Amino acid sequence: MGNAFSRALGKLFGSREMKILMLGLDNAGKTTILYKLKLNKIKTSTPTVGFNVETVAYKNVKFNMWDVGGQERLRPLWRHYFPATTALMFVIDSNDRQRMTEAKEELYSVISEKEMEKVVLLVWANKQDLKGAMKPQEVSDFLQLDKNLKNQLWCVIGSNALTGQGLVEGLSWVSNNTAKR
Amino acid sequence: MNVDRFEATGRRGETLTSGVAPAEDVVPLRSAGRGAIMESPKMTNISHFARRQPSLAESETSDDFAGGDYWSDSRNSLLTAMEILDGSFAQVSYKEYANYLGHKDNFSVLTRFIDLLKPFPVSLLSLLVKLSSSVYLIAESQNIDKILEELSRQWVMEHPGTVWKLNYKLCHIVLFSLLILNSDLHNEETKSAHTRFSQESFVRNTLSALELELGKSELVLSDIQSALTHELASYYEALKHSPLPVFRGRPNASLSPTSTVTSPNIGRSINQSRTEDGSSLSRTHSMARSYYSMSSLNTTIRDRRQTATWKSHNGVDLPRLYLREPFDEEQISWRNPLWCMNFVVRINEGGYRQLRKFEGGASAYSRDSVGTAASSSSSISYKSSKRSSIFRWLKRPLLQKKSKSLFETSRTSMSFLERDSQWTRVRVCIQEGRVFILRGRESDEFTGDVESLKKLSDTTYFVYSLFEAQAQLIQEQVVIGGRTRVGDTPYNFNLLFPETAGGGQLVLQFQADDADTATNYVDCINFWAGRLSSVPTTQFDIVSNEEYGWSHGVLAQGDSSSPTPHISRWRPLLTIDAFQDDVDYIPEPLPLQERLREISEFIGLLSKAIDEHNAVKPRLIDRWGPSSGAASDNSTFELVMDNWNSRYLYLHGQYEKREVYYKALSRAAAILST
Repeated sequence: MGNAFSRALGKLFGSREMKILMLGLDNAGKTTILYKLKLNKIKTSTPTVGFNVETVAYKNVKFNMWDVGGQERLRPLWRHYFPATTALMFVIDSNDRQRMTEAKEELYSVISEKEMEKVVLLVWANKQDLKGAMKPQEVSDFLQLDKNLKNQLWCVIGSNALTGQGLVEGLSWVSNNTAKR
Repeated sequence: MNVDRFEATGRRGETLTSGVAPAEDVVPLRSAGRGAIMESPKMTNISHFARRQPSLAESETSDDFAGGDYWSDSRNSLLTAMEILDGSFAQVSYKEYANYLGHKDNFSVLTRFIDLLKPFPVSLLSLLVKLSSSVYLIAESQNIDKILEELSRQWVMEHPGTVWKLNYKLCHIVLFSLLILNSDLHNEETKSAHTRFSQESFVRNTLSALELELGKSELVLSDIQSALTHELASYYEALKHSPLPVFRGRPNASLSPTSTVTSPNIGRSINQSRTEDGSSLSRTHSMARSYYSMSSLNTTIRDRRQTATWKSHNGVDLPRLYLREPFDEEQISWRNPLWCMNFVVRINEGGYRQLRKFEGGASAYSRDSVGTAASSSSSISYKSSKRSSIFRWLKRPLLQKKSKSLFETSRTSMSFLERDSQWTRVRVCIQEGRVFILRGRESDEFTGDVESLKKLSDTTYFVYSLFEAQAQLIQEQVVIGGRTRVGDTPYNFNLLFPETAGGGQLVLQFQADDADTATNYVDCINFWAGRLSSVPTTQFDIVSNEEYGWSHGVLAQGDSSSPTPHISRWRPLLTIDAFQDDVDYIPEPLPLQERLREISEFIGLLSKAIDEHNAVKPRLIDRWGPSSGAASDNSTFELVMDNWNSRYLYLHGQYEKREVYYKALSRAAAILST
């Protein structure tokens, strides 16, 4: 049923392309996720000096993912990309409770930008395979998304970048929730 | 160029970690550094040792050979930096050098590496060009960040007379911005994106980032703005016409620049340390190895995109799909029907055609570059003589994808009820998580030995993983004309594969001669499918503010007064099984007992979810239904009820499937415990 729906959408609107920013502290698992998703890449392009930009195609939707990292002073440079962004994917190491606050600050510093008002937020509570990992519900409570985000649609999905668990689900959620925009 | 570099090494080889050490500190170091590089036998030892045992590379070797003091540490960093520069550092592939340098633990190597790049050009763009032609500069942004920061720090020391003075942070911003620009202008992945920088937006964006940082320095924007604008604009034009060069590695490590170094002492000592004892050979070898591992990586990626059928046909070994346990061998050798089945049954001709279409159709997908993992299978399972027919499939539109109505589905899965249905003899072999379907003269000889598949010349075959597949016995569900079917009446069973991301689903119908055979097939298929498939718990762990009409908040709101929230359409999230052809690796293999426990827990979860879902239904009608007063908006009510229905169907489908798996696995567990 869901598939028939998106197939119909695909016919109506053709393929969509969305720009996605991927953020997260170091060691959260961004690269592993990009690598894992690469398996579904549509084409291998010639490498370009600079940042990892991956395109993942998924049904009719093309996800253009930028790894947006670096220090505070570089953040204004990324701002150029904010207005065109469809979704922000934020990767969290659910096992690293000590840096949870740092992750939270990083997330809010970006999502509270004016240009990010309409973005769809997907939080990957990564490293669910580790024993001490916080569950998606705990992560969501800690981040207080419910209280703080009034405009954006958000969702926290447990993931394990090594096995790929939760990754397809996440993309699928983003794709489901951006169709009408 | 090379000469420069190594003279530079000799001169600054041992400057302090920061690379901006005050001059008086450098003096004593200089002699120490020179001595170490040219004369110390320890140096040679270290480099040999480090090469033989790359895992020990840094800290341990310094302890063993030089007492672990600061100097040996920095000597090792220098050594590593030099190896990275000439492409011989074997601990990681050259494509990972930038990530290695940017790592916070390797800061001293980074400092030295940047130092080795001196002299620096005055233009920041040329500086980037120099960097990117010295190291493969495609990396994580946080690592690039570190490299560029260090580069800026050393650059301002070299060229203190520019507009930047000593404000390396500002240069850092410009360098980073240029790199973003390069990715933006030249990365094919962004080709069709709408957000290409224009010259004007690039300059504006960079200036606004600089402005924030300028406040913290002694510089005033208005003083330098026009100069900056001009400079940035010229960088933009230059970069637009020629992208930053991609460093391609130095495949000939033995011909590394060091051999051409003319400065006699340094050159010789370095060469010595490398050629003695055949170590230069081993270095070449290790480079070759890292190339090899890169290419084998690519192979793996490509392989995953190909179907099992293709692999099997092309002699690629099929990977093991499950966690093999001691009892498996036993049961397989005893030919326990739960572990392996290998008989001749009949397949519905329509289903068989669908099978062939499915393989061909799948490649049509990838041509359409929907590009899901769903098979770039140009996979022709059958022999090359039939290849022409494949191209015919390719040219066909994708109309045979799936039946669209419930009516069609039920019709196709019950074709044994139709008088005109046609059946073909095939050999169906279930083993180790895969189904092999063979048709042709030689299929009778097939014993289940995968090796023997490759020898077949006149037989068509298909191989599929049973991940998330499901088999059902048809006669269990249909009673025709009140007759009970017994004895030798043909028995039918269906094999259903999960729907792929492209929207296609493969359903195969088989007919066995007797009830036992059919039942055994069904059990065997479900046993393997249950063993391979992990449970989709992710779907249930999601926390989101998406509203389907039944959240506590919305239901508690009561009715009329409150504003209607935006209701999203509920859809199950796709899982990895949507990429059916991609599941030659299995996400989470578990031992049989653990899988059984996992499924049992999941069934518990599902049945609770179903109960809760049922319980919420009356409240939904109260809240959204016609009698709720506020809900004059009929479409909202319909949407909410559609959502409820979709989720119910999903839960129910999962429940049924997992129960089937559970039963099959329990049966296996029972066999094993006796």
